[in-house]
Amino acid sequence: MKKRRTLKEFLVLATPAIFLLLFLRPTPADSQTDKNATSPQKDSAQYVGSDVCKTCHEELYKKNFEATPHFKTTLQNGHGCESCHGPGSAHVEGGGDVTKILNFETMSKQDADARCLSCHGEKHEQRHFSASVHAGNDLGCLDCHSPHHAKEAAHLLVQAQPNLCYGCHASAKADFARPYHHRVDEGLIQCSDCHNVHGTTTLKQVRALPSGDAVCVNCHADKRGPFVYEHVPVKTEGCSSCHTPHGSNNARYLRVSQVNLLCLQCHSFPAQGPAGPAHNQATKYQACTMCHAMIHGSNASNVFFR
Amino acid sequence: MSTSWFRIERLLIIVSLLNCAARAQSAGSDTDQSPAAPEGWETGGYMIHQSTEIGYRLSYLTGSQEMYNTLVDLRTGPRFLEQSLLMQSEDHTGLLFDDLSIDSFGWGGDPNNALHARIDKGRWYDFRAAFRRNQTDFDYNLLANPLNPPTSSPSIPVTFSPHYFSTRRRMEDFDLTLLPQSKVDFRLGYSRNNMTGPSYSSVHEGTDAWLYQNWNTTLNSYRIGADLKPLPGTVISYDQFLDYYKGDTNWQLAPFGTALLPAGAGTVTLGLPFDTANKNPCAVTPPATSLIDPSGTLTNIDCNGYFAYNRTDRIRTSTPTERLSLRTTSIQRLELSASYAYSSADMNAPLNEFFNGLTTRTDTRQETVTGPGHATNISNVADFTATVHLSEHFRLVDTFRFWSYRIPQSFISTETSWTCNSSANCTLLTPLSATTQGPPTVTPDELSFNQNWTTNESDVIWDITKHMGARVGFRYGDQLFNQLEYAADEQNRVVVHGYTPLAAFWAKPMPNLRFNFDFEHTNNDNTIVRIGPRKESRYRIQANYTPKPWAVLGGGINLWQASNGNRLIDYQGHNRNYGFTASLMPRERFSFEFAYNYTQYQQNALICFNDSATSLPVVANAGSCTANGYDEPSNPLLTNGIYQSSTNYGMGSVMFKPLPRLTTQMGYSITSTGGQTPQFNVLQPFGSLQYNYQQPLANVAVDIGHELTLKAGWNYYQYNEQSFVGPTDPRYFHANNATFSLRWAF
Repeated sequence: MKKRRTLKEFLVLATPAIFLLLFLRPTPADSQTDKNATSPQKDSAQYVGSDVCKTCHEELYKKNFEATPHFKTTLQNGHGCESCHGPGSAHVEGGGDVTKILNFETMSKQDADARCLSCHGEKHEQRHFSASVHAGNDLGCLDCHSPHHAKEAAHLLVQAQPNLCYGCHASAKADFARPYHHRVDEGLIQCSDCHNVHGTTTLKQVRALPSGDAVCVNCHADKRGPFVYEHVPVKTEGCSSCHTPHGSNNARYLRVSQVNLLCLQCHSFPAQGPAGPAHNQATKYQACTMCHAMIHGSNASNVFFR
Repeated sequence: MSTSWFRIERLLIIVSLLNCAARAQSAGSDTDQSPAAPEGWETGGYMIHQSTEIGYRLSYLTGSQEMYNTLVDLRTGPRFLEQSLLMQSEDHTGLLFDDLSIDSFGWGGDPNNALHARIDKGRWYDFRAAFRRNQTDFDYNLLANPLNPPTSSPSIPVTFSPHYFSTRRRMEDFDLTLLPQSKVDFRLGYSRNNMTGPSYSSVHEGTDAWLYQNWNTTLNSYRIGADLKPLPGTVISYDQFLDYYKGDTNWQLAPFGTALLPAGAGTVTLGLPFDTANKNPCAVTPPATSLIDPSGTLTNIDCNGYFAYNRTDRIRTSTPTERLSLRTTSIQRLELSASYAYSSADMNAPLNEFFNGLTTRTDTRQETVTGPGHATNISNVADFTATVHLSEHFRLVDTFRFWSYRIPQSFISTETSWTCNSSANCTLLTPLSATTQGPPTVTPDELSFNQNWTTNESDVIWDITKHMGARVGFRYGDQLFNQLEYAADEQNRVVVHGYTPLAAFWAKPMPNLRFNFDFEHTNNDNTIVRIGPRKESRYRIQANYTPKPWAVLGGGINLWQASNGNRLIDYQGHNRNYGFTASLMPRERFSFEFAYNYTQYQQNALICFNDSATSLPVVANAGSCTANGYDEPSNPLLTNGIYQSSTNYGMGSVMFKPLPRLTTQMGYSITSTGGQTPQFNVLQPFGSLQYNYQQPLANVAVDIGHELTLKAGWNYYQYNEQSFVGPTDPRYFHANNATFSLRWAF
């Protein structure tokens, strides 16, 4: 039985490795991203420089390129407009023929993303994008960002957070409107503080600290530990086993309205988990946390009293 | 009163000065009637845009101030509502910087305020800074409330949350990237997270004393790193992190339930629970009819109580972490990103606890507990994602993550007790001279908490056409949990394997219409905690439709369900969410937004409990734990511990500009919840199980020219729980808030 399971695990882990070996070869001269991108101007086109682009696209250049962070593509002998749109000589010689230059409106999502990631993929933030849930569901860079027509200057977003995220994640909008909620609508924190929308190796694109700890402890630093006495579900199931992080009907973002019920669901009887309380619920306290105050972990009490 | 007038007067002076300054700046430029975007101001080679909004908020509250503070916490007073500054070098040759932006909001007393700044100079540096501060006034009076019965003598209801918070968290982040576009760039960063303020807690020592918890924690985080780009498309990064946490919170006895001792022997604090019929903190002894007589004197001196209590637990945790990471697209058909991090946290917490009072169960008059607590966390994190472009239409995506840590822990407690020489005469009046100091009891405790967590997800993505695509994958996970208690020679070892097939489909039949469908189902062969799911499913259907550029419609269904069919647990959970949104802006002068969402949540499991309140349905209808295979004599009753809630959320908002210079907005939102859960105690209010929370609003903005806009806003908040309040103060409130402000933008 054990051997069969080990074999199954091996096959599951080995499958991607086999695929990798079958398909990998060093990329020749040009980068992977350039190869993926459709390049109508082919090899004959030459870089003409952003000043040439400006002669026809002056308004766009001045208002929607020069004032954006992408202007940096002109520095250090960069190609400016052509860094993204590719060499423009054929487009110029064709009298502005739009089929002879890379056009992001007609490009496939993968190709467009590849163009963006050829620079932005170097950042730690965007490194996992092509493997992200968003990319896997056909969401590309340009669904959230607009290099020339951004409504939100920061990160050139088509709309500011959180409304940008609510556009698809409508349930989050309702969650953050509940009485107990993280202060996203108030502008104190943003969706991207907890989620890396460009992809992570964790579920739900939730960020993690470099040490592996949950992103929650970035703000709730006192819950990080390590503690002498760890409360098991905090470490094995995560904060969301007791709390709903977006928003809750219940105080302290609890999943249920009464603390005792939450505790009893695990602490019920020793045969199926930790021992239950012996207290008579009719005469004892409304909340277990009245005595077990250090419920997230304690350095001095194995029953989390202090 | 005079202070308020003085504040208003100062505010008016500031507003007038700003107004004059603005007029001077923009003289001759007010012929345009439309509120066009500010054109900015050119000086020193920079184009500058700036905005400032100052105002005054009035708040009128009816009902529970504590709940208002917990949920809203916007108060009366002058405010610096928001500010922004943008400077851009016109020819990108600024001396110190090319771009500078600073924006902030919430200054002057709002519970949330933040500042974000970004400064960069072309290829030389990129600097970002953020400051965030939030005030939390949490006083939900049902949390940790002992629900003191009116039958107690005396009856002392607890009308606040014993675990009240009034804390401030200040977070600062600074990140500097040097040579961001070079082959080698360098990163430096520093963050600070400081939380201070009064809060309250409780401790159990005979009875439950209320504690003043002077919160003070600080986390300092330092970061340094570099990126090396040896090949086009390849970057290798190294980062060193150091987190240093200081926990200087201390606990002291807070007065609640104080009484005089007979014969002028001082006062004693009896703690939070007053239920004399159940001997909390002790019974009333006849002929007295109350534990505290009308003069405030304690009538039963053989009672649990506190004269003094304090505790310090000076925590110091140092967490250095190193991370090496790689991303490359230099191999044909492959995009690979991988990282490995090693972390070793070291925590020291020397405990000092002092108790002076009486614990009647053990005849303890005084006790000290000291001892060093120590834990380390040695953690390894490795992950990678690989995207292999199999063909033009097929991609293989693999995501792997391994997280392993072990936490060796130790606590050596030294407990010293002063016990009454005579148990029969042990009272609160017993002097320490009539007690015996026992020998220090040294209890070493050594434990180890270890976990390995591995997940691997492989997906094949098929871009069938430009209009549709699909994804099929499988996620495998294993979790090894191993907890060791050396003194008891106990080991708790659990291994969980999880198998998750998943699939997704997306379609865009028209460029402006999009559907997404996601599904995954997990089978776990074991669980670590009792309500951990054996089976877990998620379905998500989403649609977005943009029939016109000004009309955006969206709808979604999110379903999650989980279960553990073990007959001694029977855990069931689900979250069913249905919602749609509409955002319409047919004309620049008119827009409309609407959203509706319905969520049904349930979480239940069989529970055993102990309860003598036979009038309650959950007790009257309870089964027998013993008869159903449970072996827990102290918790004999069996029931389905269920929490169920249904939440409706709706919002609508209309923006209308009847005149070019006049903008109005009206809106309304409501969250309405109903549900059920068992009542274990006759005094137990259902609290937030059933409530309506309504928030209508109205705003008017008038462009008065000269880059000035006058604004007035009204917000209404109403929170209304719909069940009895029990032995607590009502939590209903409604508040009318009015904000008047002047915005200056150029």
